[in-house]
Amino acid sequence: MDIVIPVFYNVDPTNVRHQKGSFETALAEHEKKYDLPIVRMWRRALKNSANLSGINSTNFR
Amino acid sequence: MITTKCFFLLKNFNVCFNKPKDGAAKAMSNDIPRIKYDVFVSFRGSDIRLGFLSHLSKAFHQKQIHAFVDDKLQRGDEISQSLLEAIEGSSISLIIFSEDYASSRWCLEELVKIVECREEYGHCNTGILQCRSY
Repeated sequence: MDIVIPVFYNVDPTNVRHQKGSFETALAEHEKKYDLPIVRMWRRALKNSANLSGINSTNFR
Repeated sequence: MITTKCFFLLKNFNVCFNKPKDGAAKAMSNDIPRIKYDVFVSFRGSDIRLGFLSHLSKAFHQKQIHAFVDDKLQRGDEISQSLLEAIEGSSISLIIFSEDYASSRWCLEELVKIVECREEYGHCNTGILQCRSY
């Protein structure tokens, strides 16, 4: 794996990075069903990947 | 509006990928996964299957980009081994974050694998594909 490109398709990158909005709701639901370390790993992956430079669909109008 | 956004995004992708003459397949040493795909696409099917994804697949086809796009409607309990191997064997991972992306456990597990691979094998395959970001 050489390159990872996140594409933010009609979502605010900040919401992915800090798990706000629909991402906050989804992760809260997962926390009810799955072990906390697993959900924590998912949160970390969301943050790390959203921090990479990517393409934001709202920049194209 | 969405179509316009798709168009501009795809226009962006068109300039992003420069296909090498000898394709993506390249023998690697034993401890590094063999590259089988140019691109692995991680996406939430219910968000983009009927719109953006078809435009993206068409653009890949036109540009002769060998992409792994798993568009199965049903999935098992665990992320499949073939999916993990596809992630390991791709030069580029494209993560399409959409509104419902995080509600899927499978998307999140794919994402963990992508991040792990990048940390583990990142920069090993430099030069197979060139990418410019705008």
